[in-house]
Amino acid sequence: MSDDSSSLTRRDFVRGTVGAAVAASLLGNPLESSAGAAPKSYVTLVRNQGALNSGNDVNELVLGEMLTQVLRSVTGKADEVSAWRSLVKSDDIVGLVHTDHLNKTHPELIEAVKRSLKLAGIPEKNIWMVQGSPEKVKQCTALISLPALKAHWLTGIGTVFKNYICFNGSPSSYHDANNAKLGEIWNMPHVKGKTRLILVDALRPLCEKGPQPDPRYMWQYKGLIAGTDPVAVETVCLKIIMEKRQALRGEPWPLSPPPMVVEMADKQYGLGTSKLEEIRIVRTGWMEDALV
Amino acid sequence: MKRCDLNARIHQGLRFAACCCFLLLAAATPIVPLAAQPQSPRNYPTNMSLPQTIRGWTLSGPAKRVEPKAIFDYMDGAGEFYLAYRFEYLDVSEYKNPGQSDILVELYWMDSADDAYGLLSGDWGGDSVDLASTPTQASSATVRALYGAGLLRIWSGNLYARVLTYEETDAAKQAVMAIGRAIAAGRPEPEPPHLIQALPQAVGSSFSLRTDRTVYLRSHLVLNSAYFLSSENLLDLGLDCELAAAVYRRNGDGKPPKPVHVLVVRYPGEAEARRALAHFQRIYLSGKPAAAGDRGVVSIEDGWTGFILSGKGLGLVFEAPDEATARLFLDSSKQALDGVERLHER
Repeated sequence: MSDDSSSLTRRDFVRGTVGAAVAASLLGNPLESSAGAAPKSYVTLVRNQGALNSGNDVNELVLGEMLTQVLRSVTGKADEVSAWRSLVKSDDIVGLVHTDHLNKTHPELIEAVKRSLKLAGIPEKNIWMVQGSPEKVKQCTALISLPALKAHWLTGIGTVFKNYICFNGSPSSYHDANNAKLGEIWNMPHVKGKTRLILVDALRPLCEKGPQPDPRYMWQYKGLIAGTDPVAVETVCLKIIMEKRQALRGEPWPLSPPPMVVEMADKQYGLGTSKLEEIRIVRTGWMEDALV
Repeated sequence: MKRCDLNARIHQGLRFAACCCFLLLAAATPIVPLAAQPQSPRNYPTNMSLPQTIRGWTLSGPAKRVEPKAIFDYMDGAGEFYLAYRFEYLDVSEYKNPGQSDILVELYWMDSADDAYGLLSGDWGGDSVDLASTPTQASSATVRALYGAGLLRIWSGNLYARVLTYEETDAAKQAVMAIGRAIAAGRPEPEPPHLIQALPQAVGSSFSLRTDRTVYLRSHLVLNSAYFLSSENLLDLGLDCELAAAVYRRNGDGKPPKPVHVLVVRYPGEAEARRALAHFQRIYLSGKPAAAGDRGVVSIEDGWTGFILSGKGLGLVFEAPDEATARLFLDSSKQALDGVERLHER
């Protein structure tokens, strides 16, 4: 930290005062993991070349298969029913939290999750759409986060932690530099401990200028990224965004401002790990240009 | 000062596109004259009527007006970007065409042409396009519109416009371009902000300005998006300030291509400029006792940093490879600051 100030400066990043993932994002360095460390968290990546057609329409059959693969990979269970039953109870009120604004979560993914939950015995009346409603979240006993993968001009990345911004009832309190504190929402009493799965829609991510859609920076990644550690999932998402930026420009393209929310979620709020070397990525399916 | 050669080359390369633009404009339905035009304090129109139909697409209804207080309802998470400039309001329209993708039209009405330019300058990516309908307008070498992958962005006087098709087909692209021409038709085409014009195209014989990385801004949030300096507002920026964030690349001399970053800031007065420099020195250059006074260079972790105060202007240099280069950039920053004052006095 800089003297006589709680602010972080560019020099702090260059010095290495902050975490590797965040520093690498700002300085345009590759975000690499060190070999040999024991994994603390697992993140599942499933991709399928048939998930989207050339017009960006979703193949729902393929997406359903991808969801099953995600659930089996995250839980280690043999089928999606067993997988869901290890994540939620049959009497849970399950809140689905999707991105409903600017580069939205694909509705086909939301429907696939609903169908799958019902198949696992969760009554339809107990599956709620809760984005933007802290009151509904209070009544939920389980949450499934369904953000869409995107860079964000104000926070660096606007995926996992940004997805809960409305749950404190005052999203404007996280504007400007306060966005680094988004992780604190996950520790609020009505949210803490309820998130059973983070399932990121990476079918067609946005790697720059988010959240407003800009097709120049959207590409068909055709993936789902999932896990139970929100920081680890966000870190893997960050790696993909960074790699895509470099690939687009053919030179280091720093993510600015740096995604401090990732660092804070790890170090200050204890929500998971942002160290890539502590994350094991479990890959399934098509891996060409996976970027991670 | 003239705009860069790069822009001129882009412009020359697009004469064919300009011809196509003219033909497309002729094919569009007659454009409804500008509606009763409220005048901003600088006599810019702040309203317009879009064509009802254009190339098979039809307006779905009247424009939705988004005032500054409601911008977060329209674009949660992106509104700050527009409020970081002198934003008046936004008009949102949508064109529909059965069997084709919708086309979204966003008209951001700004207080000044400089503010609208700032919005375009946030990203120079895409292909420069010429929306001018007359040879006189087309003679300008200044980039006023950029297109890429279905998104057209326009700087037209105090208006910044985004025209977006969600699925880029030939027909949709032609419609987007036709809408863009309708928006730009007859509107003023001012020069870029004085601060941008004053930036030297080259520093010494080794460094050239990257116009495709040069951003005009007023807010530390936008600065941090262009070049992250600090999580706090270290330069005391605000809507009454203006800043040019520039990148100078090293010309081909075999050395590593690490660029030098320059920030040139103009404050409302000398006292504000002096306070901002003191703030910068106290926080960013903490632990560097030599970093005092109105002008200086100091070696820090990522190279040489320099600062210079000149009247109501402040110049900052980052990541210079050596002390001599940092001082060279300070001299050029001083010239730019003096030059911008002369432009403002005209």
